[in-house]
Amino acid sequence: MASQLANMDLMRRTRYVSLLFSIVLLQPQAQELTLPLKNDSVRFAVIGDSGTGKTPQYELAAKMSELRQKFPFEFVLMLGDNMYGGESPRDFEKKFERPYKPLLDAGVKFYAALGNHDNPNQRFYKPFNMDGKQYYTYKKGPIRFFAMDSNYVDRAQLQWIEKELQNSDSVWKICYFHHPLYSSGARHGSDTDLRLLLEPLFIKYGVNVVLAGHEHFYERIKPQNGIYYFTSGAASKLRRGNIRKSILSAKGFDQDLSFMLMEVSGDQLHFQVISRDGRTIDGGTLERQTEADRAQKASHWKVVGFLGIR
Amino acid sequence: MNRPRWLRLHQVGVLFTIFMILLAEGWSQAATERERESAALKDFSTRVNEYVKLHKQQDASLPALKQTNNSAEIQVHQRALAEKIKEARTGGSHEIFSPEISALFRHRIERHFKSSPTAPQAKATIRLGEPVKVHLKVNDSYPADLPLTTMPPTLLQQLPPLPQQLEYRIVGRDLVLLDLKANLIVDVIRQALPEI
Repeated sequence: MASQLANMDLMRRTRYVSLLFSIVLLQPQAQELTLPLKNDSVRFAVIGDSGTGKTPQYELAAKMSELRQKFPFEFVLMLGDNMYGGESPRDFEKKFERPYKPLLDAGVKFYAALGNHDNPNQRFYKPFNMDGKQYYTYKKGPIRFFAMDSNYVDRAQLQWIEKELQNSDSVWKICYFHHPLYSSGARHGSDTDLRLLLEPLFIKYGVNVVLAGHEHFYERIKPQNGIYYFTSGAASKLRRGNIRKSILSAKGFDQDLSFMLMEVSGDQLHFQVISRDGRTIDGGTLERQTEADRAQKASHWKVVGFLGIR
Repeated sequence: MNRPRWLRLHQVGVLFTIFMILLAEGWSQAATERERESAALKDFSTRVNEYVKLHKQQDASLPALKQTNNSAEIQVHQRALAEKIKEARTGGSHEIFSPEISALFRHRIERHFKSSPTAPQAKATIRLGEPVKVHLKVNDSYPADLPLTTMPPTLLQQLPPLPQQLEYRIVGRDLVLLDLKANLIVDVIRQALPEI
């Protein structure tokens, strides 16, 4: 009996370790698409903190357009700070319409979340596809996306996200908003107040992936409580050297601007992170979490989370 | 020295009576406090509803703002709505944060930052969320070039809920009531927050 239990424990541990290492790390390399481009997959890009209207934004946007020739993504998630400074018609043109013109002309849709630099009236701007709402949800194939407004998580938004998550029977649930629940950034760091209220809901209703911006770098967090967290807030602004050494971080990049490409196919999410000069700075494949994985990771998280909380 | 039994009983009786009087006094004070809080909340709700009614009236008098590819329409609508609301609020009292309501808010905010177990997280959210320091007045527009300080969600749970037209915002140490669609400062409680 004791040996059976020991074997079970070993199997669980092996499974957990194998799951963690199913994230295949890639070495920085020249521009080379590693995403599988499977039939019927859902393909999208992710940008955060994009709206400066300055040259770096245009350079990264050009790289996105270039890569779309090889990886035809259908839509782009915007993680907030879509418009820094003024929001006059000229600003919309300079900070969104012109840099992303090739993508917009090709029919690529943008789905924006609001950042702390964004006027909430951006919700009326049609190309952001917010349908007049500060937080909203939509479906793409097997994925249900939840775009939240992390600037103002009041009772109404909490009730909304709980109801929407509960009602969703999608295979994949991806939440995105501006402020990261986990971050190794020296400037901002983890938003633990937000985490207190959101994370229990994400765990309860099986959210798979959470994407955030706010920090002007890229970071992949070690799975927390069974959830994959990414920060991608360097689509225009860069906070060079801002990632602190942290037990949370699985991979970080704060030396150049970057954006993410994602492809979901069946139970796998493939991702590749590209810098302004076209290098792949991170990438891999995530397995969709099962209930058992979540339970196992939950016990692991207690240690990691405790040590990692700032 | 042994006191007579009747004297000891008398002393116990006196102490018991004093205890009961103090207890009743405490209950009475707590009940008065609850009544005061309840009245302030009711008054706040009435004032907010009146403001929302005014907002809706002014909004309805303008061409409806729908989803648009033309960002100029958004800006024009925002400005026109702000002007209409400002005009409608001139003359008479349109204050939302009366002294009693302000006292209630201050009490709740102070309680949250002094005794809530989540106070450190709430403070961190404000501190790390690019806090702004500017003196905004009622009927000012929120400056386009300033970020909006993130409202700590655990603090928001302590404040009365608002209709979708309005949000609470922190500006320096002031608590501001912001009309989102008009981008307009509706009212302010000065120094409502502690030093973060």
